[in-house]
Amino acid sequence: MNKVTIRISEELCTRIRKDLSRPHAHAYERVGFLIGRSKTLPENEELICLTEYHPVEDDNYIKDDSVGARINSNAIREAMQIVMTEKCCMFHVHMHFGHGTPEFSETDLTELPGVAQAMINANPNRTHGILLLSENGADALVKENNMPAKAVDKVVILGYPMTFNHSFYKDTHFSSTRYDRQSFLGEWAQHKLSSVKIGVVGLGGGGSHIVQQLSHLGVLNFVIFDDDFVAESNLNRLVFANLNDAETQIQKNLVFKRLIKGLHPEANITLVNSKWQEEPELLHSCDVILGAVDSFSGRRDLELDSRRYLIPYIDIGMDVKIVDDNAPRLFGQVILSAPGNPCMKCIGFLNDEILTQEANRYGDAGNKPQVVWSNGVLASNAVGLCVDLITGWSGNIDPCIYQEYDGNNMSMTKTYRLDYLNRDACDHFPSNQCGPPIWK
Amino acid sequence: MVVHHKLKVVMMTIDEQFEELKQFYPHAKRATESGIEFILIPELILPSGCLPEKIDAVLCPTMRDGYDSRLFYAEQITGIPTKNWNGKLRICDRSWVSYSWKSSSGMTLLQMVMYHLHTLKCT
Repeated sequence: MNKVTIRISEELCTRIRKDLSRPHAHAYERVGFLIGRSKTLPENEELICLTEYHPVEDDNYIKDDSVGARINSNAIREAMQIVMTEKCCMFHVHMHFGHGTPEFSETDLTELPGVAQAMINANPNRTHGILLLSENGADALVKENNMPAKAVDKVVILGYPMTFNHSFYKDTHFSSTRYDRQSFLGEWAQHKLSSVKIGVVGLGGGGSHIVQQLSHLGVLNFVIFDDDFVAESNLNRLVFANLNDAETQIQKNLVFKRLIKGLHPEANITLVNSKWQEEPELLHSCDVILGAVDSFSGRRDLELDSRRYLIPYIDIGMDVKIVDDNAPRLFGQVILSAPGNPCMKCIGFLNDEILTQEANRYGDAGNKPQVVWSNGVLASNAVGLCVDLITGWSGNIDPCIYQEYDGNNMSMTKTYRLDYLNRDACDHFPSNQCGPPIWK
Repeated sequence: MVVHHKLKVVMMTIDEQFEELKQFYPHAKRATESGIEFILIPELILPSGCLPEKIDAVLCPTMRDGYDSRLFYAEQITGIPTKNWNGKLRICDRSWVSYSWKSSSGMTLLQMVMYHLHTLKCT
């Protein structure tokens, strides 16, 4: 079986935990089923986005004091019916109270693979399995036809912070001396930073700072998208590029491969010398995406794919406006668009008017003013946000982040717009539209 | 179907329009993304002279980016007068291209497809 990655939003996990915590008349615990939509990614990775929860009806529990919960054939048949009609993956889900990555019990390992096998019988062309939740973590098994269940390589809960199953990151190796000064990030922070895969779209003034800082932090897995070459006009802001790079018009990607490999010879770097839209599956394999693109439609499209495949998207950008004889106004933004939370439309950053104006210029964002220090401020905040999202070191739990940069006053503040925002789940990206699209 | 006798205007619901479209394109399908419904038309046959002769296309029948409706293609079409093709845009997990061409509102889905196909040959 391929490498398997499972993603599920914290918002959906919270709903499931709430349902599974309800008392039952005679069962000690509750169980349910989760629909998954799968996609094959490069390097034989199978990505499964868990999108819809189906609780087991009260009447479908059998009285049995030897186990926490036993369900009848009706419950299993209903799940099999969904698998057949929806052509989807199906995961049995239950919960163990406690924190961290939960462990399957002997009973789980003995009894539940049979439920997954029933789903295989209903549709052998999809991957089925078992998801186990704790109060703040998850782990999962997948089943192949008539084979023992197998541990899932990576289980990610998309919350703030993100939660990964312990086996995904626990065995990574790094020099503790090198990262001694950032050990405040947490006991397992360096393991997580070494294990996650970060996508960076756009290697301009902002993107170059992002790659440089992530590399120093100890991120080892990168997918970097840029189809441009170093030119003399980049040298005012493209950190780590030099005069020789401009004279030889080297690809920007190669400059940053040089940077990363200089710090980490063992780093796993995928360079994409084209627009990300040419190789979207490489983007979908990333755990976090940082975008430093010029256009609003480019941001919209990055958010569309990020939301579809349950990936947090961090956006940065800057601009300068000159009105009449006033001094230039230097401004920008750092935004986190996290699955299950308000999107860039909800928070008022993207709207039809802006996108229409840009389309009227045939999508050309133009040569926007760029300057190294504001690129650096915005990129630094985006990297800080990314690290916090992965490690949770700050204790912040608000997943809705929209910071506005005022370059004239050298300040970065939370936008007032969030004070008036409906924080309920985003209407633009409902969880049942995650994963590959369903054309009907 | 709602018939406004005074105005002599026949308004079709979106479902009725889709059924009408499917009479010409039986493999057409619908999906929603970011609150917008899109219509996929696999192997849409293009006007004579176009290359390729048939291509997957997706119709955005509602206002988006200042266009009342827009037909996107899986790749750029050749054999036609020069157009302002945009870069690849993402719709429903796939990259598409289109060109700048304004349309008017009030058309049915089928009329939209016919209109956009007609503009392929326009200068």
